[in-house]
Amino acid sequence: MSSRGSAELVRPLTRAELERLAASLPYQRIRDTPLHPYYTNWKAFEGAQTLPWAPEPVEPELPRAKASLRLDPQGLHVDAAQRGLEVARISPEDVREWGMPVDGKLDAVHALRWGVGARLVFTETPEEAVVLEALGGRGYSGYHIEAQVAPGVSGRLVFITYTPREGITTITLKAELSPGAGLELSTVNLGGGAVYVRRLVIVEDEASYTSRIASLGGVMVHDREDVYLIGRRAKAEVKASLSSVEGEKLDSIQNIIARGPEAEGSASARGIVNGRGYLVSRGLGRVEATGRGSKISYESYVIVMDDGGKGYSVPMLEVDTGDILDARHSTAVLAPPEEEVFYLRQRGLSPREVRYLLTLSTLEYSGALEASGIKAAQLAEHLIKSVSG
Amino acid sequence: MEVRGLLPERSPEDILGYASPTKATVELRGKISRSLVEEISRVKKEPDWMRRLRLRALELFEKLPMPKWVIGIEEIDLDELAHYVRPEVREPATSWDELPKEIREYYEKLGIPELEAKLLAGVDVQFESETVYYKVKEFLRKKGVIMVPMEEAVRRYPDIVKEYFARIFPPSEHKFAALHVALWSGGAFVYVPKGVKIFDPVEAFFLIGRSLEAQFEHTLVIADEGSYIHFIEGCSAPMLKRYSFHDGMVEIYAHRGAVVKFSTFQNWSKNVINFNNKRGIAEEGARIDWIEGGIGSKITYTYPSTVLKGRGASSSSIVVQISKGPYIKDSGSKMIHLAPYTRSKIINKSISVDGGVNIYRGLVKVARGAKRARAHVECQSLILDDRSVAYTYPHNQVDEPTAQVTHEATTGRLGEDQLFYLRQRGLTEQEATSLLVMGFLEDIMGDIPFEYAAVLRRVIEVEFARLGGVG
Repeated sequence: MSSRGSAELVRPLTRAELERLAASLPYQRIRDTPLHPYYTNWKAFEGAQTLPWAPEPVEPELPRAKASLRLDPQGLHVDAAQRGLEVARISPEDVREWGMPVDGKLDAVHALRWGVGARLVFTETPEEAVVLEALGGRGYSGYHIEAQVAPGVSGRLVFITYTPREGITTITLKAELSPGAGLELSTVNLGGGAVYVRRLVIVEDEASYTSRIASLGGVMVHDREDVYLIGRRAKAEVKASLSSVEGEKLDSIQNIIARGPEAEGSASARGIVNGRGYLVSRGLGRVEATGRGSKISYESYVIVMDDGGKGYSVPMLEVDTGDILDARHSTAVLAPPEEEVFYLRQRGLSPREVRYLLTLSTLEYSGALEASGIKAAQLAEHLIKSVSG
Repeated sequence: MEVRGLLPERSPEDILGYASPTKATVELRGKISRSLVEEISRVKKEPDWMRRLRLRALELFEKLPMPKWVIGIEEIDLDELAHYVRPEVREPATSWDELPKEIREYYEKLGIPELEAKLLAGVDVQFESETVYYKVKEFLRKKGVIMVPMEEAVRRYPDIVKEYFARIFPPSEHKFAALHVALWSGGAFVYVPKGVKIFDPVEAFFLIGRSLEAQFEHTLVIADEGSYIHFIEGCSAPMLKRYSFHDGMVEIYAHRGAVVKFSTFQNWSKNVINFNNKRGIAEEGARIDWIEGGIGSKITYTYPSTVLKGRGASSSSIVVQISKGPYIKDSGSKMIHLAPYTRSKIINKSISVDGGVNIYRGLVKVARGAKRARAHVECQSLILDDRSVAYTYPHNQVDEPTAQVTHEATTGRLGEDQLFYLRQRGLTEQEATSLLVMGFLEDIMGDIPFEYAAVLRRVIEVEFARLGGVG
């Protein structure tokens, strides 16, 4: 199976190099803005180097689809074999050189500390989606997942993660789509504690990637997805539902980079901040010099419901060639739309019911919850419980 | 008023040619140190409070790190620059004839004397580190408007200067702001009294005359309650053998209900590294409008910003940047909403061609309590060939649930169908491209004073014509 994309993007690092970087790199090299220097509160992750490995996983209370694969502090658990899917355990000893990007201290610390991993290879198009859970515990948990999709095969993966407030979890997921392959990845990040998730997706010639994300806040949740369209006519569509409630922080990033010619990528996010939540919706659309004839877009819409809530949007565009089809972004951060609220109130809904509906529609937007079996209505009720009014 | 023909419609290199040797009576060059700062203060015969302010800024300059996001400044060796150059002009002249011929000729070639006569209510002209000419029309004086070189304001109006100078844009903000305050020289001071509205613009024009020179002019505009002023800033330089460095600062304070328009037409020659620090504070119901047209320079960093401090204050920033050739325009705007019912609008248009780099960095911040604040940002970038690039980095930070911040941006090339349509109707490729480029900028031209829009339009046409691709 091809892995040219990975080698092209990331210079593999030895353990000695990682140790040096963990000691020397800051969490972030350049401040985000003068007024708000770091969108991610990196202090929440300071324990990642020293916190003891979590003794056992903590389950989220929400009912969800039955997972056939589970990563927890005690190891990888495979519930049942699925046709068309090869699963292998991987451990740090199996990874001689680290092939994920290392941009800051936490990337290096994760590369040195993760303990449980899985390699998934989609060899045939499966009948059902593969459900993979990664659960953190009260302590540190670190996971690494690699997924490959064979040429012409369409994979479906649901990835659910949760960490209790007392825990720190770092997760890396690398997915590689061979030429002509397809992957539908539904990520549900239920937040909770300090959670750092980094996904790297490499899409080769004529391959197609669909990402659905539902991400909630926590002590500090940093959820980042980088999609590299390296092949000719590679495609990606990323949709995200984001929520942050009282006392929670979420920094969500969706980046799409068109490196191959005639690539097509779009990312869109809907976010809602209830109570004094904090939500950052970020995204980069980049067309590199080799991405001639490509098309890229990013769109984000964040509603701030209450006094004390913070909603930030950072849509970025980098275009390195004049030979592009289109590159655009649009964002809005605003109060609940007056007309919609008026319409709903006029029909007899209470302010709380309006809040519930706006939260529910945001959560349902990406389709990730539906794929995970988590009831959006139940989650919306749960989320707004902490907010008065 | 038709000013076409008055203002230069060519690049500064074409108009001004190579830098002519000019005499300097004082030249302070070399390592930036306490003794250099004290020497600048001494030769300028400054009061002690200003000397101390400079020294405090120097301490900050030494402590602050080099901003990591600033790209392309490796060439600058601050220690080899002439940080203060006093041209051979004893006092600022009030007649062009009083200026040395080689200095006067620069301004004549740029059309400043004619422009002054026909359009401007006041003018302050700086060559190297000092104002060499300034004149204010009588009706301005009668209305109580003060427009003087910054040094004169320090001497004659210390209380006003102390209240505002380096307080709107504090030197602690970044290394180049601190450097500016430590080494500032030149610039204009404008005070518009309560209720006075001046509809004819005033202008300050800055010219760098030699290689390895650093220019640090400081402009301070204070508009008292209910007043109106339009300040135009222009800058240029002849062809220089090596680079020069510009690190200017503009501070604006618009009191309740005042309106300040601040327009910059930047046309430095292609080896000037241009750093700008621009900020205004708008009180209740006041308005600050920034207009920026940037064509020249090797690298430009400019981010006009407004702090909307009073209820109902508003601001706009309209920026046009052209990057033609291997040059960088790093620009953007910041709007900080601190009060209820504040409004802001940012429009940024850029064209990159022939290896040009355009970067937009913007920030809209709505603080908690800025009820029903509204902000809108629009960025449009046009890339005319495969070698040029455009980057957009906007940050929208909303801490107030009743606020609304919207943003949209596009980056694209000229439409093939549009080009085909025009070619089909008999236009050459160059004519068609020129028309489309001007069309791209046209909607923004309406926001620029008519006279300057006409000139800017022509300068762009001529600039692109020389490339062979447009015009």
